[in-house]
Amino acid sequence: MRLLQVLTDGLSNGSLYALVALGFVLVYRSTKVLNFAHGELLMVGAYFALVLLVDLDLPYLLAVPAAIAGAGLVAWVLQRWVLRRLLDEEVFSVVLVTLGLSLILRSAVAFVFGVRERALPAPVDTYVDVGPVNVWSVHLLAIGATVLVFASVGMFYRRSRYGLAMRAMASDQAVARLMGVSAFTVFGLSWLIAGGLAAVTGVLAGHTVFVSNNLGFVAIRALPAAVIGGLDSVRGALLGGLLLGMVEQLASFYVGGETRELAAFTALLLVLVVRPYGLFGTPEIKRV
Amino acid sequence: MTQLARSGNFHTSYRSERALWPTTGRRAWTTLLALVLALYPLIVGEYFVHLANQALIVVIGAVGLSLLTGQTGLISLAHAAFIAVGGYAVGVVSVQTELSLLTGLGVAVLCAVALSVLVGLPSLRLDSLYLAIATMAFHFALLFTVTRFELTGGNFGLRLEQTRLLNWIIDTRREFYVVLLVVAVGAVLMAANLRRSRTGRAWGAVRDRDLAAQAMGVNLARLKLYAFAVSGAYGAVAGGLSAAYLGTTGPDHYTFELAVQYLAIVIVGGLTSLAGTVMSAVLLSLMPEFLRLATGWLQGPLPALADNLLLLQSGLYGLVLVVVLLVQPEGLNGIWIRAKRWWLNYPYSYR
Repeated sequence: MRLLQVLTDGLSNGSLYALVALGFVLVYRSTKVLNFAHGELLMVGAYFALVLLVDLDLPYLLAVPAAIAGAGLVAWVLQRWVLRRLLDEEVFSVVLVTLGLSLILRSAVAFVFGVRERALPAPVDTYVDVGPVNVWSVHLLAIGATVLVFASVGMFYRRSRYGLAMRAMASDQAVARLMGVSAFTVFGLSWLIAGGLAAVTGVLAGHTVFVSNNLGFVAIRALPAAVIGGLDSVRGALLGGLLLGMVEQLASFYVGGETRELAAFTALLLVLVVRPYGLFGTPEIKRV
Repeated sequence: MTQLARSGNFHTSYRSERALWPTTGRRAWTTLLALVLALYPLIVGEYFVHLANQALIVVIGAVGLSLLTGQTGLISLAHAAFIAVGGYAVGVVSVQTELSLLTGLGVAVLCAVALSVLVGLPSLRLDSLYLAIATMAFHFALLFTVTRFELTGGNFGLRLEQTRLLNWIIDTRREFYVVLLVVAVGAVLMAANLRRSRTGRAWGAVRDRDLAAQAMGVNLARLKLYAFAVSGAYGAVAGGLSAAYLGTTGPDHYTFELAVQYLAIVIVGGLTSLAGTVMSAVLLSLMPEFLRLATGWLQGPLPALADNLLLLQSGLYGLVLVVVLLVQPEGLNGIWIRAKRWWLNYPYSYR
């Protein structure tokens, strides 16, 4: 019974990781660059929600979509005014620019909203008995949001015109661009969606831990999930996230709470050495 | 006989191309710099010696990273971790034993080299993006591990009582200046020599196109690991000296931001230029002090800014990184080359 409880906690934590990983994957698939500022977008989204929900006292169903739109807009602006200028630049520079952006966002948020840790109250805050296990309503919310997000992203990729364009860019950038897919549209759209997704994740993370300018660390902890699943696979993001959540919970249950992060990062290093493209990613072949 | 305009420095042999001080100008500047560095602590006050000490420590660390990231083209977010290795090694040796700083630094370098092989292993298969992830994972894994031990003082870190070099107890800033200057000059010279050696030129080939370099007979695995080891050793020395100088070490000194800041220094200097790296290391390491001065007049209009110097500093590093990469990817070195060309070709824009 205890094990079932632990696994349920793992599932809810894992769904958060899966959402973060999906954010990494969305940007990576179309731009071939890992967005190291994704965690900071998470934080920006959480702060928008905090201001709208707590300071302005708006209803939850109004505040959260507004925060999603806001973070999406921030992400789009970053893409439009900063990263677009680096199209066709080396991966190296783009990685460094996203790192620089993450530092800028973190201190900007601290100056605008202060460095104090604040709580982001959840709409429903009770414990629900689901079968034999006792689940926190926030965790249920996280699991529900994950299902919803993955289903809609999957649908978007599979059914819509823009989803097709994004898949084309993912499979071969040069050919897709030659076929008339606009790189700028796809990049902008990916960042927009990833930003909105970051806000969803940020709000959910804000319900479980306090919101501060270190909230972006959640994304660093979820990075193993994205890599283990494979950086260009949506399915990989989901499975990698859930796997990471479970492993972390099991490690802290059986070995001790402090081994959690260590286990995750060690797993990440191992995966990178043995199978760099992850469980579901596409292996890349390098030519001279 | 007509007077010809000077049209540049030409190399007539491979030897002259690799020379450390190829021109009279370079020799003159170096002599001048040596003079200034030697006289500096005799002229200026305590505070400026302190600034120079901090800058020298950053120079050592940055030169190491520039060998890895600039010369070999391998991105590393683990530099702060190597600096931590050095800091903790010197800290533990100084707290637990009576041995001198030299032993501490030796232990630091050995640990860093051993760990760098571990970090370097993924670089054999991964390109820049995945390598960034792997080195970042290493940074967090190392710091999580280090703070779990009693020996390293956990989350509080260690306090170093005094620094002893052989039988010499170093306790003033001016004495430290001498030690740091000697190490820093040695570090820069060693880096310059490494860069022009067979190994350094092979590193350059790896940076430009690693598979092509391999096809020409460069042993990729060995050279990449070697680059990681050298840069890790530099980082460890910088970290060890910093711990000895500040008298403390602890997880707060070795944040992930620090790793990004070192990368920013290398980028701002110009990836392939050692002189640029040294210059930007000095400039950017003085940035906190400029900020501290600036906060004097920021206190009135923007108190929030003045209260969070560290945050402001890391944000500014980010800004510098982004702006340089967008506007001036060749860094300070690029500016210098353009200025020199303008000067030589004046009044024409090119020849």
